[in-house]
Amino acid sequence: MIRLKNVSKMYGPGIVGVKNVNLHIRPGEFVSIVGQSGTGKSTLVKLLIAEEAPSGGSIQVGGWEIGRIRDKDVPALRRQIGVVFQDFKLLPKKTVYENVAFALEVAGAPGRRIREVVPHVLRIVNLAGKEDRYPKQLSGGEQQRVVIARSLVHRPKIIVADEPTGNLDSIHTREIVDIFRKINEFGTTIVMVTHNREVVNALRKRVLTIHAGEIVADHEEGKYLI
Amino acid sequence: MILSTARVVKFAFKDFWRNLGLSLMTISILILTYFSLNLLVIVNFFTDAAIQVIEDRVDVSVYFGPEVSDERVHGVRGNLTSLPEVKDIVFISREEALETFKRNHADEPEILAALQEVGENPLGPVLVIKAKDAGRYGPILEALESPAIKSLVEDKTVQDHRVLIERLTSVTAKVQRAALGLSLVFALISLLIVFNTIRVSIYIHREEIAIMRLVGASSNFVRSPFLIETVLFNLISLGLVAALVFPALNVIEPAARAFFDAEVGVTAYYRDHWMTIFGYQLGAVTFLSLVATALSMRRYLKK
Repeated sequence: MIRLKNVSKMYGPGIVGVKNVNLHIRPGEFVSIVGQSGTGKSTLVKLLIAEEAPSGGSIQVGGWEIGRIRDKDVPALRRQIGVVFQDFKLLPKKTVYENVAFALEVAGAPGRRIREVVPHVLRIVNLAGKEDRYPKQLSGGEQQRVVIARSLVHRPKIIVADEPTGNLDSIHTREIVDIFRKINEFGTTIVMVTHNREVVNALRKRVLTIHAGEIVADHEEGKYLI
Repeated sequence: MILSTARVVKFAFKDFWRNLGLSLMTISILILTYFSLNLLVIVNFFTDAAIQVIEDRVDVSVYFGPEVSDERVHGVRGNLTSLPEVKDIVFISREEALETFKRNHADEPEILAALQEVGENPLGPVLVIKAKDAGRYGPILEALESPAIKSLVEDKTVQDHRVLIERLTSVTAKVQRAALGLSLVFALISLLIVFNTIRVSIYIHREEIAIMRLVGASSNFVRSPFLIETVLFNLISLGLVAALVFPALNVIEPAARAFFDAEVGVTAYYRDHWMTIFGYQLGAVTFLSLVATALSMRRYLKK
């Protein structure tokens, strides 16, 4: 599903994003990536979604080789990976429904499919009835649920979440993690970057610990070590 | 393809409406640009009209002696007509010259009495020569100095016009140079303003563009609504300017007619050439706006 071999990313001489990362994530896994700020967690996410190109090594995501992916193929890759960010990245001038539908519209999905899929994913994240609200009319947890709904519309095999609970209180954090757990149970691979010790410890899933751009620990049913 | 095009157009219109403040700001700048361009067209038209009016009033009148026959004058006219500088030559016979003289001095009985005393018509035939433009009287004047013609001519108003013609030629060239320079400066300023306005607009939309990329929108899908919006801005701006230009011309026209003491025809000019005038303006400004949009978006369309 995801395989990284000797991957490094340099942002200039001596500025390390990640170095010598070797990693294999199997289909259906739920992997938490933990580590202090500035250790390379977000760089790893950017590499996985082809927002950055690696300086060395090879990254395979699904059938794509990220280091060699052509610009015109990036949209197709992004439609196969659901992406969830800490700062939500919702379009403020679009309603909940429009924000979710947008991911299908840009892919050229017909209107009938959009009318079927959008209410379905909104029900999965418990946002039925709030379709006409704008992002600023929602709580942080609800906004993050819209983002998750948006990431689900293409039925992705992988969801990459970068600090998805970073801006949320403990109640909303639990809601979001429960949704990820539910999605994972359906077979979707989840890669979640987080700082949240309680979340990682409660999940009892695989934990990768990054320090200074390198993976220093990889434990099945791991705990937050740092 | 049709579905994507329809969506892109829908996004463009929605974005236009939802960012109404920014849309109106861009339109107002474009209105100023189109207004400036039309002002230049009108100023150029009036400059040309002014020069034309003055040129039309400049001519060379050649007075032949009363003993010179009409046939000989027609012969001279034929020679002069063959000059490439000559636009038009009007022949005034002895009888017509006398009639005109009497009409012009109808209120002066002493002059008319003196004319009666002379008995016969003392006036000779006249040729009124117009050059194709004010700078081309030189060769005509030279031709009139040839011995064959000079011996027949009693008087000519050449000397009176020479200074005016030279001054007019010089002023015309200067005005045209100044108008061209002003046009270029104006066009450059307008373009810089349009370019920067669109850059600001794209900058404000940078997060939206990033999100579109994130959810898998292709570069064309991201770019197209902004390009359509740019065309929309231009169409609305030019439409509003065009709607203002015609009523404004209806106000200017009578004042111009009174000033030049002649039919200027700026409204008719716009009415006859509106497709060309507005078409070129729309084409040029829209093209540059689209280039500005594409350039401004380039950095946000990277992975």
